[in-house]
Amino acid sequence: MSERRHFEAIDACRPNSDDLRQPEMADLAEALQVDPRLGSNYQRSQEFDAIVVRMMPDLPVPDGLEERLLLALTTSQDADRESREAGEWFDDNCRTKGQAVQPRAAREHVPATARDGVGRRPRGRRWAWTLAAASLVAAGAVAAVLVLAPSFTAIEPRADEQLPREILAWVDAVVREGWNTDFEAERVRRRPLDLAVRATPRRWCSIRTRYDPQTAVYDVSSRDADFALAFCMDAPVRTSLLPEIPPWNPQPATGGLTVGVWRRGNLVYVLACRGGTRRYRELIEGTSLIG
Amino acid sequence: MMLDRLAADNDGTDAAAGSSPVDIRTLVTDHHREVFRYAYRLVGRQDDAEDLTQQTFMLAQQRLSQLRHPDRARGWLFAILRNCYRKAVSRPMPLAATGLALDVDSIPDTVAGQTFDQETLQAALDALSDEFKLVVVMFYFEQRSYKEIAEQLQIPIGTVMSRLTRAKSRLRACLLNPSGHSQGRRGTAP
Repeated sequence: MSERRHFEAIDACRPNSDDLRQPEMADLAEALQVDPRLGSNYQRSQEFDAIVVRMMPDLPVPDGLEERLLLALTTSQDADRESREAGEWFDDNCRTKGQAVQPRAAREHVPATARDGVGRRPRGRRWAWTLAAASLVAAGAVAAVLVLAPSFTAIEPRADEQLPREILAWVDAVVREGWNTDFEAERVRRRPLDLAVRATPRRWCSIRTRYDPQTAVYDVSSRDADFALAFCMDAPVRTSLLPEIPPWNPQPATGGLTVGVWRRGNLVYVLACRGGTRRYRELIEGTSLIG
Repeated sequence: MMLDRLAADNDGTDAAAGSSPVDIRTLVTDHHREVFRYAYRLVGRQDDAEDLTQQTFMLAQQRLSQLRHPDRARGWLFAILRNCYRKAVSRPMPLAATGLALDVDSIPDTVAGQTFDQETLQAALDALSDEFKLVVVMFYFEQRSYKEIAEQLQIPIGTVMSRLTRAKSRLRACLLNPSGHSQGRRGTAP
């Protein structure tokens, strides 16, 4: 074993452990017996490691951390529950509409072919068949519109009663996604933080929402216990009259959040924070009109 | 997912499990201090350490059914934390190679008499690149063996030993000869 390997093996031995008795350390153990300099290095390395091991966990824990963690977990559970409920509602409604259409189409189709039999269809019957087929297509189109309409029309988040429920699911998605500090990334450049938000973003991430699969999320919180997120979505089609500046009067949301929504060109911004209206206005102070 | 695999293979969890014998509130109460301290050693700032701690417990809550052995919850939580941290760090800091023999020989004869404060220790950790910092924190904080570190991080044992030596050389240089080394600070001790 080379000297370098010996030093690596020495550094791999934990203090007060039996690492030196491991088979892979046999060469080192043997060398320590015959090389006093190596033995001295081993001893000093062990003493140094013992000091660091003692110091490592010796850190104070911030006051109230446990309470804050439990609160965050409770909030997250609420968001999960509401997301599940919203998903079940959507599934139930879609399934109901689909099932209502399909049997009717089947009923219209089966009698026509049954009446026609296997021989040559008379001209009047052919017209009837064409008419039935056209009705079937039309019925299918109407059903498709009924089923899919909500997802097509909901292309822009609106500050109604639905958005505050969604916010918590987005926050949960942020937690799952993890943060990024590279502000040069392409996704950030395409969805920049609005200058109306008066805070410097500390980090960002990208999450999927039903409005924009690459929604950018900026952490604009400033203090340890602060919570403030700005969501930026590319939503080129307008479906509501969102203000062009952050609303001065935000709305409350589930989980103790306060939410404001506005549009800047093709980008829609949602600012969600804790601390009520006062904190919300601090984040947009001087950029908005009373609205 | 790597997180699931790591947790299932190494920390007493079962990816196909249906329910866990512990609840998340108990985990928070029992382990939040250690998880925070571990996070602090990695990120070097109190607010970032709190965020990392919260992210860890959020993910633990979602994957709680995988935890089959409550006595191994500590290691399981640390594994989640490490994955969160590895995902969050985006710019690795290169560590300059140092002369290994010289560094080992530079340990003072009586190390036991040496003292250094928490701020100096954290500054030395902060000066390490993320990949070296992970290995060092696992070695000193968790007191994992080099084999366990290799298993957890899914890297060869030789790589772990090499990283340990280089990182510890740097630590020794910073802590035992602080005047000869300038280190950048990214945060202050809580």
